[in-house]
Formats: sequence, C-alpha cells, structure tokens
Amino acid sequence: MSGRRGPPRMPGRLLDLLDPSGSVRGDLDEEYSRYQTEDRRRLGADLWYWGQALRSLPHLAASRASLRSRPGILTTAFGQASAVLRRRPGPAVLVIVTFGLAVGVNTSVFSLVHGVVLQDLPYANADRLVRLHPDALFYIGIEGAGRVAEAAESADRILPWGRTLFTLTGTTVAAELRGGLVAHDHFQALGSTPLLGRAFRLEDAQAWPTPPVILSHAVWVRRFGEDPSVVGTTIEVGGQSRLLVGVMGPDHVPMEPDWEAWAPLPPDIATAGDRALALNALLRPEVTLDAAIPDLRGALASAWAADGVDLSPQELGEIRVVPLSEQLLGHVRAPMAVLLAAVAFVLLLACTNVANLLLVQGSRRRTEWAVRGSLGADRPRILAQAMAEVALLAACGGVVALLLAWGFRGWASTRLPADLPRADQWTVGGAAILYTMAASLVAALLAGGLPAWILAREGGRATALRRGGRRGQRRLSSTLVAIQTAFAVVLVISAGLMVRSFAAVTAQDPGFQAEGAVAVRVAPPRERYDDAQSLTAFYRAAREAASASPGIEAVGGILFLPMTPGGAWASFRSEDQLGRTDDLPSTSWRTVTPGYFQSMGIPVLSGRAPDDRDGAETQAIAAINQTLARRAFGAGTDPVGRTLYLGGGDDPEAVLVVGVVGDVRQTDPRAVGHPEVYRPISQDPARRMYLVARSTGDDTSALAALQAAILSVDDGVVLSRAAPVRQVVAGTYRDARLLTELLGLFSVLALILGAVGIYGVTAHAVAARRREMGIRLALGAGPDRLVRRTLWTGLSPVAVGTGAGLALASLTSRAMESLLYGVEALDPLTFALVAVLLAGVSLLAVGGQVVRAGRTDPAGVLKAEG
Amino acid sequence: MGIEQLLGAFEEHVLLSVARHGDEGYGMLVRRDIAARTGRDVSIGAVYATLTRLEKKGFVASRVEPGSPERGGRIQRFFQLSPVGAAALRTSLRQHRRMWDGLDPDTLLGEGGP
Repeated sequence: MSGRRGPPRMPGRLLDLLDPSGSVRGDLDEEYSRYQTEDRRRLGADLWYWGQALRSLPHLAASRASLRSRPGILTTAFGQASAVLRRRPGPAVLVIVTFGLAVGVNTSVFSLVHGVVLQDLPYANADRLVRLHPDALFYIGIEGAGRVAEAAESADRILPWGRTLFTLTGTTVAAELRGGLVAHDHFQALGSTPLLGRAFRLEDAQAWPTPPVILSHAVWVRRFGEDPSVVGTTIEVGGQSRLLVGVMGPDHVPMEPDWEAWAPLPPDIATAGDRALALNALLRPEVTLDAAIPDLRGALASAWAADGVDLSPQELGEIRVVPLSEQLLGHVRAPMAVLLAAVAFVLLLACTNVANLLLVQGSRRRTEWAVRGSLGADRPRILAQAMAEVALLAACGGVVALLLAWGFRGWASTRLPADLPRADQWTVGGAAILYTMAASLVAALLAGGLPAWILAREGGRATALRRGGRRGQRRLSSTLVAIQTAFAVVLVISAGLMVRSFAAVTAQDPGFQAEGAVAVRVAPPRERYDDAQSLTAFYRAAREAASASPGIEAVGGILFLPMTPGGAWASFRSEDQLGRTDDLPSTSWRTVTPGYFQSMGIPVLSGRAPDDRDGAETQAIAAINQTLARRAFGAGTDPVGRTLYLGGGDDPEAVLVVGVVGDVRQTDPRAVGHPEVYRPISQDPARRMYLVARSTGDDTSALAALQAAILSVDDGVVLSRAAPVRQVVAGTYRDARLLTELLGLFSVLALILGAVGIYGVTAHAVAARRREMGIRLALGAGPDRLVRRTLWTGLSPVAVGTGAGLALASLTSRAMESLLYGVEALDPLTFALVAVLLAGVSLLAVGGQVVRAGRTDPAGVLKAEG
Repeated sequence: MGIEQLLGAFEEHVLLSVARHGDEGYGMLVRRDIAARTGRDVSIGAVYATLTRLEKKGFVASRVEPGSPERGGRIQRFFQLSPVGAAALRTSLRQHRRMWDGLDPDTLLGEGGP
C-alpha cells in the first residue's frame, strides 16, 4: 500500500514564518492532497510543493512588510534624522568627532588589552599549567626536577626549563639568539603544536651535545626567508650541525618573552653538567590549584631535602605556585586596567558633552519640535526621531573610531614594551568591531537618552513655542558640565601623576653616564677562547683596537651590562665575619675588563679599578661598590686593602679589595643599589661580555667603529645587541613611557572635550538671555553686572565639578599606586596644578562669551524682539 | 482611493477570478483558474499578496473559516468581490473597450498584415 503522506515539512515551516494565519499553507496542503488522489507521482507533487512555497516567500514577505499598520516609526525616524543632519552638518560633525575620538580610544585600548591580556594563552592546556617557585628560593637542577616529578601527585608532568643561547652560524652574519632548554614533552604539555615540523621527542634529548632545535616564527622569517623546506634539514648552530625539527607559530608565547629558539634539556647531569632550572607543572585535569599548592610545595621541599636543604615551615609557606598565565601576563594587568579605566572616563566625558550639545541643539530646535508636535507627532514618535538622530551620529562616530583604532595599532606597535607577550600579535579585528558597536550603542543611549526624553516631554506643548532657554534645562546643562569637569579632573590627575612618576624615573641618576656610551655584546667562539689567558688576550686586543679608532675615548667590557637581564650572585663575608656560616648576605658579581668604569662613566671613589696589572698569577683582587663596602666593612671605613671572602661554605675565595666604585642601578632606574663586586677578567674569566665604548662623536659612528675594531681582531666573533647605552636604559621603562604618553593623550582629549562643553553651555546661556540682558541694560544696569553673571554661569559648574573630581581622583589615584615611582598617589602639587589648569581652561572657554555679554547692545536686542 | 485607480493586469485577473466564484473564491482556486485560463503558472504567494493588497484597497472582502483535514486543520480564507471592486472592473472594461474602439485585432499592423 502506497499510503498517503503529508506534504514536505520544511517549505511549510518557511511559509508559517511569513504567514502565521496558515491560510496559504492550508491552500497548498489541500492542493497537494488533491495531486495525490489524482495519482500523480509523489516526487512530482513534492517538487511542485517546494516550488510553490519558495516562489511564494518573496511575495508574502513584501506583502507582510507593506501591511504594518503604522508606516514604520523607526524608518520614518531615521529618514527624518538623516535629513536633519544633512541640513545642519555643523553640530553633527562636532558630535561625530566627539563620539569618534572617545569610542576610538576605547576601541584602541580594548584591542590592545584583548589581544595581549584577555585572550587565553595559545596553549590547549593553559588552565592546567602552573609555575613553581618563580622567585627561585633555592637551586633546582636536573636531578632535583626529577625528584619533584616523582613526589608531586597533583601534577601529570613536571616541566623543567632553563635559559640558553644559540649562535646561528653558517650564513654570512652570525647571530645570537636567546632561547630555552626545555623538557622533551614541553610543547605537548603546553598543548602547543609547531606551525611546521614537529615538537621534541624523548629520543631528541639523547642527541646531546648536538640535540635538534626548534625556531621561532620570527627567526624563521628573518634568517630563512620563510622557506618551509629548511625544516627537517640541518642548520649550523655554534659551528655544529643541528637538526631543525620545527618552527613555532607566530602566536606562540614562550616562557620568557625574548626566546627565539628551543632545544631539549640534556637527559642527565653526566651529559652536559647541571644547570639551574625553572619548573612548570601540568596539573592533573581534576586537581584544582588550591589542592595542588600544598602537594607541589611538599614535592619541592622533598627535592631540596635530598640536597640537604631543609625548609622552615615559614619558608615552605613562602613558596609560590602561580598559574602560568598569571606568571606570563600578570605584570601587564595593572597598567592595562588603568588604561581601560581612563578610556572609560573619556567615553563618559564625551557622552556628557554630547548630551549637553544635544540639549542646546534641542532647545534651538524647539520650534521645529513644537511644530512637529502640533502636526500630530506623538511622544513615541518624537522620542524615536531624537534617538534616531543620536544613533546615526554614534554610528558615524563608530566608523571614525575604527579608523582611529587602526591608526593606533600602527602607532603603538613601535612603542610597546619588548617584554609584553604577543605585543606584535594583536589586531583590530572582529572582537574590536563588536566592542565598537557596543560602545557606540552605549554612548548613544547615555548621550541621547536624557535630551530625547526631555524633547519628547516638551515637544507637544504649546509653551514650547515660547522663546528663550528654560531655567530647568540650564540647570541640567550646568550639572552636566560639572560632571564632565569631574571626569576631566580625574583623567588629568592620573596623567599628571604618571608624568611626575616618569620624570622621577628618568631623572634618577643610574650611577653611570649613558650619554656618549655605546655597547655591543661580544661572543668569541668557544673553540678558540676557552680559558682566562685567551679571553684576557682577546678582550685586551679588542680594547686596544677600538681605542685606536678616532673619537673613542675609553673602552671596557663587563659580563652583565646594567639594565640588561642576567646576573650572578655570591655570598660574602669580611675577615671578622668568617666564623659565620648561616644567613650569609649575598652580592651581585660581575666580571670586568680594565677600562670598564671609565667607559661607563662610573666614578672610582677610592683606590683603583681592576687594570692590566692584575693577572691570573697575581693577588686575587676586586673592586666593590659603596653599598657592599658599607655592608661588609661598615659605614665610614675605607675597605681598600682589606680582604673580602666570596662564596659560602668552608672554603670561600679571598679577594683583596683594591677600590670602591659608585653604586649603579643595575636592573632598571627604579631599582635601588645592590651590593656589587667586580672581578678582573684575568682572574674570573667570562667569554661573552658587553664591550662599552665612550666616544666624543655620534652614536652611530661610534658603534660602527667599535664593531669594526672587534672584528679586526677576530672576524669569527659574534656581535649582537649593538645599541647606544641610553637606548638600553630607555628600554627598561618603555612600559611607563607608553602609559604616560597614553594617559597624557587621553587627558588632553578630556581637556578639549571639557572646554568645548563649558564653552557650549556658556554660549547658550548668554544667547538665551540676550533679551533679559538688553532690558537690564536699558533699565540702567552696568555691563559689569552682566559680565559677572556670565562668569558665574560658566564657572560655577566648573568649580563644583573640580571639587568633585579632586575627591574622586583621591580614590582612583590610590588604585594606580603600584605604577607610580617617586610620587605619592595624593601628590598635592599634581592635584593643585590640575585644579589651576582646569580653572585656566574654563576661563578661556568662558572668556569670549563674557566679552560678548559685556558688549550687548540693548537697542539692537529689543528691536530684534519686535 | 477612488475607482479611477488603475488595476494592474495581474490584479485584474485575480479580481475577475474572485468575481467568478461568488463568495467561495479562495487563493488556490484563483491560482488554478488563472493557470487554466491564461497558462501562467503563478505562485500561491503571489496570489495571496495580490488578494491582500486588493482587500486593503477595498476591492475584495474576506472571511475566514476553519480548515478541513486535507488542510491540516489550517484556516481557509474566502474572498468576495466588493462593490468598489466591481466598479473598478467595470471601469477597467469600459476603458478597454474605448481604447479598442475602431481597432480590429486582426489588422493591428495595417491592411494585409500577417
């Protein structure tokens, strides 16, 4: 039995959408069943049904659209709105620019924050990864890491990693890359796959001392011109052939921001010696961070216990376990939050400004609205049109905002701090467009809601035809100006604090003279330079060659240049502290060549600096800085000639102090002085060092001369990071600089918007009261009285707003305390200056109107009144 | 809106078909009628959209009745010519006649045409 079957459902449902009454579908279904009784083939009936339904859809849709009872309130509103805006483009442009700037800075900052902080780390296992003891309380080596892995029950894997350097050779110019030694399962545990090739495998570690490498996307682009065929072949690293097994994608976030290459860790100490390692852990899926912390602390403690280090309960409690995302991104959260807050203030300010402009506009167009009202436009219709006008303006502003954000992307890309992860990855994309739409909508509602409501309320009233401003509305305008002023004060104060802080950072004497000094990192090849003698000889020859170059006054080398990462530490004791073995203080330790202190402009305060007299066979000596002199030997004593013991244990190294040099801020200008010991290269050899040259000429030629001189001694040496020292210093506060620049920009914007607002409300008040003023003048009032009243109208909301703003700023500036250096969050000078600045700007904004009020011509005004 | 308003050709066909069925005309019947008489296979949606427009102009009136089982119980809408619609059809016919007056359909291209 063939059995009757219903018509196809899908087209029927489509019809239901456009014809809810069902009469059309009913007709079709009836006809369909007729077709079946006529014994037509089912396929034919189905096809006919589909064809009928699909062909009907456009007709039904058009019919439905034309059927709406009212001729689309929104359609009309938008139509009229765009006509109004075309007719009066001046105010419209002002509003669009205001919206565009305010939403634009929001979109810009949002894109940055979204790209850098808000997006999850590009690891599949991001939420399960933690970093153990980032403060490096004690040393963990390869065996220690193994013991932690055995003891940790909450972690699937323990992932040790360390820093290393890769010297890419084999092409014309050798290059030195910072990179990581990672566990063979590092990338799998992160959940991060290489763009090309593969991640490391267990057997890769067995290839030590020449294990395979993985390169970053940037290096692959820079050195290999994006050639995919290079993956799987051997490349030359440090003069040896190494298999290149993979290239990471451009969005990979390494454990340290400047890593550009990876190799597997050696399998054991026997293979490549021990090294200090950092530890990540991949938690088991079901384990929470809180549950994992005690377990991981215990695992670390047991690993240290095996080395004879016993932790006190307090020390155990101080071991931090932090989510990896926090470790990699946490430091940028505070400045990002400040920026987001700042642009939110800009948006609020702009909305207040536009609201005020619209109020003024609305009252100028009061007659138009009254006419519309008397012609039958009811309240919803007036509300719709007023809102439609704002929405159109906000939409145009949104377009401006996106253009601005794309411009900002280019501007900021060169100014972002180098240690910002994914700094070159963020874009103004889909999320930013959505955000812009949302921000524009919010702006339209905030700015347009109140004026539109007032218009709608007044629109229909005959009284609205009356001329002149309404007192209530002027009061509203003044309130808006006060609010606006308060926002501006908050923004300008936060920018002011950042400027003061930034000035304090840059004014900080780092202890050396960066101006006139250039530096380059020098890596002599290990094959030829591996002992004190060869290294001392090489650096002496390089110094002599560079000193012979014209314009170069002094040349010297140091193991860790100030303001660059890296360092070595040792515990120290003076002669009379030799009995002590516990809690030894530690000092930073640097190797220098003769000439270093002159080249950096670091003063030698007493005695001498290491020089060519110091050799491997002569007395072990050191120069120490003031802080170390004070800590080891006490304030006020001259340590020259005394002995310092370096290193813990029973057999410390005794060195003769030959000189005291000035303190240097080693990590960044905000860091305070650390104890510091400087050993001569002949007694404490270092292979890779920075050579610093002080010159009388310009930096570029000094750098070129320095590098040429070094290569003239040995052209197999790898040079990198050549830069003027002041640039190295500036690199350490790029974050503060960017934040200061941005906040400065936003507060200038706030001041301009604020001034426009104050000007607008005063101008309107003066214009609205011309008649009153004319009468007063005609009745004998002096112009000074009008001037006073105008000043009062313009300045009283500013005074109220400034007071409120100062109070608000005292709360908000505390939130940015952690970003400030050398200035209090409630810095009275900044607060006072901002108040004065606001007063000045408002006087400028009011001034023109005051003059206008004073010149009111009573006869002219009264004549115009008729 | 007056009866002078011109009917479109399709509107006229729909209206004539409604007139033919008294108060029993409905969408599918009109569609079938037009297909049979003119050979035009129009969609049911086009017929309904036109009927709705004609109703809005006051040329037809409609009533709704509960549907039969073949319709899946969906309502059925019947259309009926209104006096205004009847006047519009008469006007249209009159205009046609006047326009055709003196013309021979067979000799539109002159004597001895094809």
